[in-house]
Amino acid sequence: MKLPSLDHHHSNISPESALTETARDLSQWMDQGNLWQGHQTPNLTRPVMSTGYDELDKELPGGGWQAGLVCEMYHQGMGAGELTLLLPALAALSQQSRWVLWVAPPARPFAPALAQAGIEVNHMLMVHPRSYKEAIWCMEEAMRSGHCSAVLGWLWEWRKSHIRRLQLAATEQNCHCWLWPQTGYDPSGSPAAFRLKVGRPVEMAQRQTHLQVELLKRRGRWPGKPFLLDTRTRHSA
Amino acid sequence: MDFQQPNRHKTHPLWLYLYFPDLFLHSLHVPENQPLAVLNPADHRVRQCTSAAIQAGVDIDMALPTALSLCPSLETLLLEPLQEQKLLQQRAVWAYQFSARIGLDTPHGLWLEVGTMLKLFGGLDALVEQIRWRNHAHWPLFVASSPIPLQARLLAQYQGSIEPAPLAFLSASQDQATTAIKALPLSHLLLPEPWQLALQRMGVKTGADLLRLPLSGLATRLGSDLVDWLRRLSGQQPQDMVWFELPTRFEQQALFVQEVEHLNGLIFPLRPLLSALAGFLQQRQLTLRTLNLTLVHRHQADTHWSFSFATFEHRFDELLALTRYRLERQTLPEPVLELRLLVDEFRPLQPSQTDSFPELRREQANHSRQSTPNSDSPFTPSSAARFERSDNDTLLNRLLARLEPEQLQRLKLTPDPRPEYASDTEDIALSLSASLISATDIQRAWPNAPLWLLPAPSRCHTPDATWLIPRMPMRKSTGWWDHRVIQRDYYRLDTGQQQLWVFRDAHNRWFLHGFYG
Repeated sequence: MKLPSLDHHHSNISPESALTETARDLSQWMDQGNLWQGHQTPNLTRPVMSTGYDELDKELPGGGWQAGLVCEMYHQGMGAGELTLLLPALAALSQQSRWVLWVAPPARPFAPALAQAGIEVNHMLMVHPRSYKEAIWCMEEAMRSGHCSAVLGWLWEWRKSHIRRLQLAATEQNCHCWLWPQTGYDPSGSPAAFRLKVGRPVEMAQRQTHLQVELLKRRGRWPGKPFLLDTRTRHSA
Repeated sequence: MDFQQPNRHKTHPLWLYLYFPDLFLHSLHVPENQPLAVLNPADHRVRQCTSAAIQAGVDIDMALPTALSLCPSLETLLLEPLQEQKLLQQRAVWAYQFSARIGLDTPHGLWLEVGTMLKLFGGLDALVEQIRWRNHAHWPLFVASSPIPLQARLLAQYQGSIEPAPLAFLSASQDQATTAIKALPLSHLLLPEPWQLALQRMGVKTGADLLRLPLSGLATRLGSDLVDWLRRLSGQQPQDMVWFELPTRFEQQALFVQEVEHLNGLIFPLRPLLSALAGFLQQRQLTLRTLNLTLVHRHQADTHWSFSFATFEHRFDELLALTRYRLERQTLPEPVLELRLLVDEFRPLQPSQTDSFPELRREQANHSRQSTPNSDSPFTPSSAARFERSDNDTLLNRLLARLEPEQLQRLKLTPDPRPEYASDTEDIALSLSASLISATDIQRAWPNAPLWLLPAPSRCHTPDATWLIPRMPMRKSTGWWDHRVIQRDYYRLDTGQQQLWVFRDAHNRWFLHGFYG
């Protein structure tokens, strides 16, 4: 990550205007969520839940999924392990007498597989919105209501202002929120607290047993390097 | 006299008079700066008018031509006595939360018997504070109390008639109320003109003079009506009451002076209506599922909207939110002159309503039983209660207010060995049927199952044999009982980035049926 420098292509202007320029750059960086400040981080008063994977817990500030923070998950095509990563968390959250809301899932979750992972299937509620706007509304409403332990969303549009709204709604009730943007990764930054990439390992032998994860953004630390996690060592969250 | 030390065991009646001046005028939602006068239908004299009209010189009882010459922009409206009565009824429905014994004093006042309620509300001052706090801002309200109904009324009206209004006369004792009455000037007692003149001629100037009159000799001189009035004032004769009875259905309306052209303009007048409705429901321990709105237009026939919710509801916050969401989905056919809210189907409030999370409801029931009711418990605002009773149906209700029912599904696990039926979805309106399938059964029936299932298998090319993961084929040959037989060999397929669930049917065709997400 590189910070805006004072002298880039403004060598002949006054220091004052250079400073304002820098301030503008900075606020832009903050807007994009690329900048974190020491005093903001990490707020560990939030409830933290283990992800169920030791390798992933180590990489996440706080040692697990923090309630009230939005996490974006990127993957190539369905069947890349994008849901496997969440199974222990959903198993734990679904024990609460609250809903886990699935907004616009791309297919039907297969109940026997969820049940095998220890998920209380009856607490899964699925919404099929007719528009992107309706999807955002459902997610916000669900999080603000306090009646959901987690909100999962598959968004076919991706707008920073909406991600920020979701992030605010999640913080309000300490709701877990995971997003699978269907738009591809936008490198210009996101208001979401976490952005991670998940996929199958390159090694043929590990394809069945491992997932490759990379934290592209994590609030409270610099982005990480890709690492492998063994899905067989999954434990309860 | 035992008035000074009221007997604690035998509660004496105490009357609280609620004076709502100019009900009709205030029901119109007139903007502050608009001069408007409500006219007496018989002689077209000004009965009620806005402060803007008063500033322009218009006064009560003024003839219409005079008023118009003083204030040419004055808008006028004929008073509708029937509507005025309805408005007072509406206020009584609202006031029913404070007392069950309410006397109607048309057109502007209510008598509430509160002697028996003081303990519940923690005293007279606390009660009146609740009343003021719960009263909607656009109804000016003056309150006074006395053990004698007529005294309470005079004191309240006196407050309403002078500016600035003096402090409320709130006392539970006869002596204090009588002292206050004695100090009232005769001109503020709102007596009919002839009575006032007759009394003035006798040298009566204040309430004290009135109470001092020897009643026995006055009947022939002043007429029996005035003497009866005086007897009621001193408590020697009981006040006749027109008792208010709660209607069995809820119907209230809001009239608009200026036609409402946007849906947003309906939300504001709906608030007090819904608030009254919530009070109505709370007193009778009822819930509702359907709200009926009627919009009256100038030209077109009335519009009827019926809003049904996913589950029964009785809380104000929820009713407002749900109605708002529903309104957002409607379009106004024409500007609206009048809005009516009608509810005539109710269901008793039950602690065990059809519920998505019965176990939670039980916990809450236990919790609420433990918490002892305190003095203001009947008024716990629903927003505060929301955190305690995390009512999961609320979310369904809110989502359904905007979405169609088929857009919302809950996941269901069945013992059917066919993938299409093993992972079913269920209409959320149905109550939950607990799945009785053990974890080991699932494990045995679905080894290595994918996380995503396509709603219907989709035809695909014959996969490259090197992609199939050979050690995990699963044969499904079943479904004979309902003639939807399947005969498939399922495989896990690795394309490099994705892992898919595919099968080959009896005709050697390949289908994609799921993803290992």
